[in-house]
Amino acid sequence: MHDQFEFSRNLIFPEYSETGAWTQKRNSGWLLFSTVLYFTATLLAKSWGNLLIGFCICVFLSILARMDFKSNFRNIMRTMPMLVVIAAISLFSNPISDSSPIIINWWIITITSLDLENAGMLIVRFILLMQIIGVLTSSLSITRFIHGLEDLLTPFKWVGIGVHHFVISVEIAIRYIPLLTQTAERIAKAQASRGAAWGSRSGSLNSRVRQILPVVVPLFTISYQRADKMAMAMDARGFGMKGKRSQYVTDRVQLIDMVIPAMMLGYLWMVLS
Amino acid sequence: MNHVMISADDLGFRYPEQTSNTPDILQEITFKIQKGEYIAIVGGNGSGKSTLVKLIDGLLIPTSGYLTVNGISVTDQNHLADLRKQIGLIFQFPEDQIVASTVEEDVAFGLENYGISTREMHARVRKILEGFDLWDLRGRATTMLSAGQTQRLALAGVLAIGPDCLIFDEATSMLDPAARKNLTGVMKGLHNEGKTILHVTHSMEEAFQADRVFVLKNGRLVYDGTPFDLFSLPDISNWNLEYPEIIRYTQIFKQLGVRLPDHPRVLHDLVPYLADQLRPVKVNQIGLIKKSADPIIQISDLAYTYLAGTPKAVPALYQVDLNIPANSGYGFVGKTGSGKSTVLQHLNGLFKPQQGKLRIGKHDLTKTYNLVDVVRTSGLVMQNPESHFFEYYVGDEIAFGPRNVGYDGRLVDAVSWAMELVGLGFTEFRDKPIHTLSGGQKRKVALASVLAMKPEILVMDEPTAGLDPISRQEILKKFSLLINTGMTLVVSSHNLADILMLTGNLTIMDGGRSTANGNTRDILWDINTLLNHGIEPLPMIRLGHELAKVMETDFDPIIEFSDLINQIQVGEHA
Repeated sequence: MHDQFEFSRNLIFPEYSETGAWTQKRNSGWLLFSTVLYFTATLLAKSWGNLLIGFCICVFLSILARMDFKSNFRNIMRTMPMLVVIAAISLFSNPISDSSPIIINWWIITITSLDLENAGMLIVRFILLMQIIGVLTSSLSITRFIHGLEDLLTPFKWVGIGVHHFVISVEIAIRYIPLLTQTAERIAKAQASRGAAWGSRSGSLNSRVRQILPVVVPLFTISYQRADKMAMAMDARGFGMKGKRSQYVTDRVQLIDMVIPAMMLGYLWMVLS
Repeated sequence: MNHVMISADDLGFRYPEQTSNTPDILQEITFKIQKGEYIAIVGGNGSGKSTLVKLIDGLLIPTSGYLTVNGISVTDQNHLADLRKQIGLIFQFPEDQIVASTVEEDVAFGLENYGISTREMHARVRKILEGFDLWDLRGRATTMLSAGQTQRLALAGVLAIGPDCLIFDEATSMLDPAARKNLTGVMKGLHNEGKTILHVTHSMEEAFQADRVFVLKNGRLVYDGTPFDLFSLPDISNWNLEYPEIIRYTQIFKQLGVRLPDHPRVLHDLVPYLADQLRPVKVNQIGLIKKSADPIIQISDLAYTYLAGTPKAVPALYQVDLNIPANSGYGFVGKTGSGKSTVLQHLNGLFKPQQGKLRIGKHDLTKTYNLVDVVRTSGLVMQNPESHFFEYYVGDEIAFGPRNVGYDGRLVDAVSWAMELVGLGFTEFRDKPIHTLSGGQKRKVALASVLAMKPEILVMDEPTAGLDPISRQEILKKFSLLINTGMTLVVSSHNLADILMLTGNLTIMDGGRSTANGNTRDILWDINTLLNHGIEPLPMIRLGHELAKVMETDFDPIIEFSDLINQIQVGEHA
């Protein structure tokens, strides 16, 4: 099938669409805070037991977020070659000697069973983190994500750092991803219709670079023009005016919003203890 | 109407990066716009229309002269918020002005910027979304809307702020006729509510409906007056304008001795006068039955789904069946989102059929194929093709295609042949930087860049969209010449006049299906079929049907003015 022009297929994380899922009703700031806690705990987890807890939490939240497991699994599998490469690098470049049984000892390469275990854990950690990002992206619209980010960064406001304009920049950058994807698709099709060998995976590095130039140059131009137009559209609707900006979405905190952070804190406590 | 809303005095503008030998984008512009006026702003591509409206909205700062909105100078940064609240700007491409990720949040964006309370914001958002029939979609991602919904959302987001003046910057240019009619209806509704409307347009029919017209030429305001006075001028082609149909036809009828009202607005206004003073003449049309050439493109049971097999799968085509004869013009018409562009991208091999059969010349696309081979047979000019340019010089851009697919003889000959064919002199234009060309010339470069591959079939998606009337006429003439060279032309267009001029047969697309195939004139005359598929018939065809009804006669298809003239005589009924 000629789907080489459907770049949207390559978006790894699910996009938000309103499903009424339980996680979509949670306070965005606390949901983001919980994600940070989960990241910390998972990256610090040193045992399979801890990762199993992380896995259970991940599955539980994925169910609450009504995620499509099948397509999510497919997306994660697409990143598997990259994960295996990272794991292999960690396997061969592990400088710490340990007393576990040696499995391979050839030339300057020594791989112990602990190295293998660490590489396996690395892959599992990445998969869990990707899945939890998926939970987040399918639970929060970009605007709620931005409001959550602003709440999360509130301490910076106390020391006089302008958080608001930073988060708006993040919002536009995120909203731009699907637009850029669609634009790149259109340009690639336009150039392919003039015989450009788009999608071919053969040829020298030089010819591959020459192959993408007809897409990258107009993409850059169109992106610049679009960014200019969007900035103009925002200005035209009063963005950046003096005076306090109000908020349409007001994320009130309820007691039930504390369930996920509490769960994450418990996970982090177990990892650290 | 004695309150001046917008006032410009000796206004000028130039970009800081402009070189000293280039003229200002706007020069010596002076006008006053009263509150509640409906003004059309017309002129050729690059005449300065969009720059002018950006100045009015305070998005650019004049480099000379004065410009005020309700007494507030656009250079007064302290009152910029007050100024922008009064002006609402609607862009040509509505997706360019959608900022937030969901429908309701986008409508609220402007209100948030002006610090409207959350309670009032919720009330206003609900009211405006209900008014635009978008309330049920309030939680939907803005990237998941149809073209029509995106257009409505862009307008809703602007109107929520409650501006007194609305500026539509070529907002109708990319719409299908039904959506265009709908949006101009919304403009008239807002005008009736007392809003000031500024409508930048290339459509003379739309300009004719305004109270007043501004004509810009090379950055200067060369005309400011009523549409009737403008279109009474003997020659407006040097301003890149043409006369609206109603003016052209009224003049001819008057020359034939028909008494008509002085200022008819639309063709419908002529019906009672024509019915009174004309009588039908039976014409024995000698039917020349032209045998159709063998099909060069055969499609049967074609279906296609975007992102098939993913949660974001969107079915675009369900069933398409048609044959396109060789050495002829073939058209595709239908509402936005009906599947026309998806079919066209199949005709160039960009999409492989997921279901059904597709044959293009000798290529069977249901089997494995080499895209370059198909492209050599069938060239595609996509929508807004000039946005895909990446070379600096005209000659290099045109050489890109033949260099990729191969060419007979010398490359320079292929480029030269294509440039001469579209009317761009080879020696004059080959070394010109593309960005210095006008809109019409850029479209010609895009066309030449595909023609240089010498395809047997030329497929074009909305080839005249966004062009001013004179550029459009020029490029349509070039297309007509292509058919005479033995090429097969496949055109998708919202402009039925383009389809009529270029094609002998057409297909109506509706909801991803080919719902009618046949002779262009026969289908365009079948007004009920068109309306059933949401297609707005050509005004002349409506006039023909209305006359037939009032005069209680049967006309042969009246598609063009000459068809009507051939079937009537001036004189009272017997």
